[in-house]
Amino acid sequence: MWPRFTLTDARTIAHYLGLLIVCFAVAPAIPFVTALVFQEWEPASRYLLCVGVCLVVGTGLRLLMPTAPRLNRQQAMAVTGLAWIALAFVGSIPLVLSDHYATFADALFDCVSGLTTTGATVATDLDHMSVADNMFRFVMHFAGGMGLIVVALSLGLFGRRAGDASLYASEGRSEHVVPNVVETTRFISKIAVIIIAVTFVPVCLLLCATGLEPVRAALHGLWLSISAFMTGGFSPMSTSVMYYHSGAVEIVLMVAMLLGTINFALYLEVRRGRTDHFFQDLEVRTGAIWLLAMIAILTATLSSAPLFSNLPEMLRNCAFMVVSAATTTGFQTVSANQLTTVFSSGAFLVLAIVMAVGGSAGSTSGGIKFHRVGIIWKSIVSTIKSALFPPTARVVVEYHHIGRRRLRPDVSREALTVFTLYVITYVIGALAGIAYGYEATTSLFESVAMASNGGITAGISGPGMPLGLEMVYLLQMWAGRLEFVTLMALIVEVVVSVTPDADDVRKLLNRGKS
Amino acid sequence: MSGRMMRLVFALVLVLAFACAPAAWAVEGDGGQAGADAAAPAEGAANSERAVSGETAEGAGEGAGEAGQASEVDPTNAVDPQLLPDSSFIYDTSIVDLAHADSYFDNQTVRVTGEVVGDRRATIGDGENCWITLTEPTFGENSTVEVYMSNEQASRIDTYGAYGRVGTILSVQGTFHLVCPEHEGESDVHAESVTVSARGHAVESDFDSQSFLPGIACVGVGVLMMVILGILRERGR
Repeated sequence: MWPRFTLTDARTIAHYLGLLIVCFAVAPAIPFVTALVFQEWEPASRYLLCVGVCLVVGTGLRLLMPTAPRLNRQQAMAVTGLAWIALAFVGSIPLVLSDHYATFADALFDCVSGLTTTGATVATDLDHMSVADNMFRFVMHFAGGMGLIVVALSLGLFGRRAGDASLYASEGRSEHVVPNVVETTRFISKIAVIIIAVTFVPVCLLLCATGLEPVRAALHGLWLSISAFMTGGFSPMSTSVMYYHSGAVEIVLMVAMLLGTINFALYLEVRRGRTDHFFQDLEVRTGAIWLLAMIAILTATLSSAPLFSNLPEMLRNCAFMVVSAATTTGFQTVSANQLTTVFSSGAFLVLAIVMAVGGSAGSTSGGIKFHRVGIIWKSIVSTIKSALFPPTARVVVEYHHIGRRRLRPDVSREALTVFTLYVITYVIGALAGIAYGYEATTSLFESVAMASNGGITAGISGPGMPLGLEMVYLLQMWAGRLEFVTLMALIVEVVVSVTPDADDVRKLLNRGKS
Repeated sequence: MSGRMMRLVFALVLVLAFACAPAAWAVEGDGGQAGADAAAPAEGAANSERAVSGETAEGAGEGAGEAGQASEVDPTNAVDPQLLPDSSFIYDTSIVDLAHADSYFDNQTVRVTGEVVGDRRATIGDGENCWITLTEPTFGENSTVEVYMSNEQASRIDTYGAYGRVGTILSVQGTFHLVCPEHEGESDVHAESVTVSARGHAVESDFDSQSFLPGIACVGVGVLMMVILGILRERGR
């Protein structure tokens, strides 16, 4: 028997959703101010309209229930799941009114890509995009990378009536950095701002050294810093990081991407002086071994192709691509054309596998996550131990993740469930690409890029892509960001709620007969 | 004179020869139309450079044929059978084709025309050359190509395209590398000759107060609704 939403539930969900939409008005307000500063009048009018729409729609939803009770778990899941798509709808209004998107679906795709920090874009004429439009894209990266609910909780938007823990967990965050959820979200926000600021300075100076004007260097430095730490992948120029032709910039961005893929709880451990927790952590160890292994494999695979003239160059490029894929950022130093024409199929698939696994839990990155891969490995060890030891023996497998922990069946089950859901989603997306006539390996690569929120594109995602495939990828990005469980629970709840109850139908029919 | 300068001079002489040969031929054939026909090849060459060509490979000789109009065949203009075929093809191609290029175009001499966008970027440690981005001015594509050229060539660019600006339309002839061995495997064109086809210009964007009316109205309605909500919440307490 599935729980159903009542009308009261729907109005409560609408109230909190409306609250989020009203607060989202800050997001288009930033490019509005930017447009005024740079005298971009047409973008300014679009973003002012978006601010107004946020206020009208959000307040309208809140008026359905002016005073809402505390959220229960189901309602929190619905708010979290719907927030991402509702905000994307509202955010696509200024984009579709620009000249860079052919259809509303294209604008919606870019919004979802920005909020979920996937980084794939279907915008046309990106190199002529206004400063305001670019600013909005990276504001979405910041909000989405932090987590919309995290931002709302850290600002205390839900007040004391909301189910903070339920909301926080529904967004795919399972760990409390500090016991109090609101304090956790504020800590995450503080870390993000500090690291972005620290990354901005060297990137800005390096861009000035390459010849960019100071204002453009500052803007590009800010946007690249946000995109790197939030593991987003949007870039202000259509050629991504290749545009800058700077190894130094790539190295700084690599560091920022790696910092973005570290579990936020570990930052607190390091701040408290417990660096041993950092180095013993299951995810850090799994991630380090995984990255080194993949860089070595990719380098070996590419060494047979006439791509690079010397080993240091090859290592640097391979390291950047692997880090960009593993952190699910999506920056590219290899063009989409090169991926499909010069890269061997082996190198191509290595990148896809790296994206599929993703980064750490409790960070800004996507994918299956190192944590789950580590847990699944420990489960395999546990199963083998159980087979080897006598039946009466009690097999205990321990791992280190912010303290010593014992492997429990529910943890293993959760890891395997989400792993399976990711793989199924990758396959479904690949089949959709194949159905539209694309090559199988390219379709699989693109599907993995969407569902893992990786964003490295092999050329399928772009202006003019088929609408059906665009919708499939949009759903994949949305599902991947919420790590499936929240979204699937929401879909089940909605379907069950709108489907008439069998008992009610029977009573209705019998009443007619009597 | 350095090797690069030699190649540049040779390329310029070649272009001028192809441009002026039809005019010279026309003048010799019909002296009465000397003035008009002398202007036509130069105009035709400029037009062919400005146009964004979707054509595939064509031989070097066809460039001369494009620029001028053939009149009646001169019976003394016989082909020398001892002349060996020239393998230095120049591919008149588009940036879209290069963006989707495979090994067919690799290490070939190409000629592309496009708008300069972004910035002039230098590589730290290389003070003589810089990077320019050319883009195809066609809606629906984000096709660009990176061009590696000398600072002197880049100094001819007057406008870099961005929001509110159309950049200089540049015609670049050079060697395309699908995987450049000098530049960490990037796809690029090493420019040998650079010609400005059209100057850049600003796109006027005047302040239009009417365009802000829908936004102001929406914000006004939204604020009013928030006030109503506040009143309802106060009454509900």
